[in-house]
Amino acid sequence: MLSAIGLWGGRYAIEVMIPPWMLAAETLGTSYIPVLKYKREAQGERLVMTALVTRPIYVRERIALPRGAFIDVSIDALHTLVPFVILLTVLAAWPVASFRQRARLLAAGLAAALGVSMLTTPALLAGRFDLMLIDYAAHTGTKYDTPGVVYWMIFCESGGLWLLPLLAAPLCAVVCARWERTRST
Amino acid sequence: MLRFLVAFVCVYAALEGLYFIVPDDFLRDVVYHCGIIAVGADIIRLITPEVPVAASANVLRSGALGLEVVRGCDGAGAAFLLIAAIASYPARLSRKLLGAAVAIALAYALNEIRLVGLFYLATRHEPWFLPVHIYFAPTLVIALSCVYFAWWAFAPVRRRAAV
Repeated sequence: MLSAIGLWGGRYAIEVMIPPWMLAAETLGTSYIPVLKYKREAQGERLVMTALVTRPIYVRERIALPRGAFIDVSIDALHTLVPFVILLTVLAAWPVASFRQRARLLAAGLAAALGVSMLTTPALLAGRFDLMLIDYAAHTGTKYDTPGVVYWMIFCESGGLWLLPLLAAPLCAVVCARWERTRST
Repeated sequence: MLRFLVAFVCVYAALEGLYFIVPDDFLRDVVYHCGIIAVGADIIRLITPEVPVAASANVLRSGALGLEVVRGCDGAGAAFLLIAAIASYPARLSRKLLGAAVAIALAYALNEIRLVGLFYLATRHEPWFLPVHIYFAPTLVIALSCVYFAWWAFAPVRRRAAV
């Protein structure tokens, strides 16, 4: 049910999330200013990052991207919702004693989902940007030192998008249980 | 709980680390071809004998369509999550080994079902291919994996409660 809600209403969630994602993406790239937007394209709905290059980017002393260039990288918009759906599904199934506890857990889940998506979506976009430079370096027979964000992107793509919400869900439960204990004493 | 989560992350990281040591050629030509693609093609031939399908390296081909299995699309992620959770949960070693073996079988079966399902979507209901591939299938696989883990972890508790 959450997946279906995401499919039809996910667009609004993504649009709400764009400003914090943009903020996080700014911290990942020092040579460009990222602008994120939601776009409906032929191959589906996409989250597009347009990077305005503010400092020339060099690949082994050769300019790969000049200052002022605009580069578009994108990911599938639905892909960004996967951690939300997993986290909220686990929390919806988490055993609780009362409706109030469930509401508290879901509220904690929303905050955690924001955190998880800040850790994943901007990195997926920034990683693709750097991956493009790595491809360029490979084409020109040079080498571009792989930045950490590319490794993080690979981690996210190879299971991190699932692992992070699965870790966040029990942590939300622990935090809520502790909060309840401190309130009752 | 925190001890379990820390152990879970460590085991998962170790499994992912080992996974990335495996050479691409070996994965493509041996694991993906023999273990996933050829089996998927056999299942499709069994369900729809009239559909021409061929297994070539890590690609499932049918006419102009080519479904490629790459790292991350092989069910390893779900299997690693389940193995890490089972290994980190306090239980007897024999139960853990049995649980992990079933987890691998489950992850493999779910991935084959996903691959065959995606093949039919790509050939018959193309607009649904992308949403199912990147959104519905991964969340469903993880949800089912969580259900299996919960069943495995709490089965002895239920049995004790029933006695």
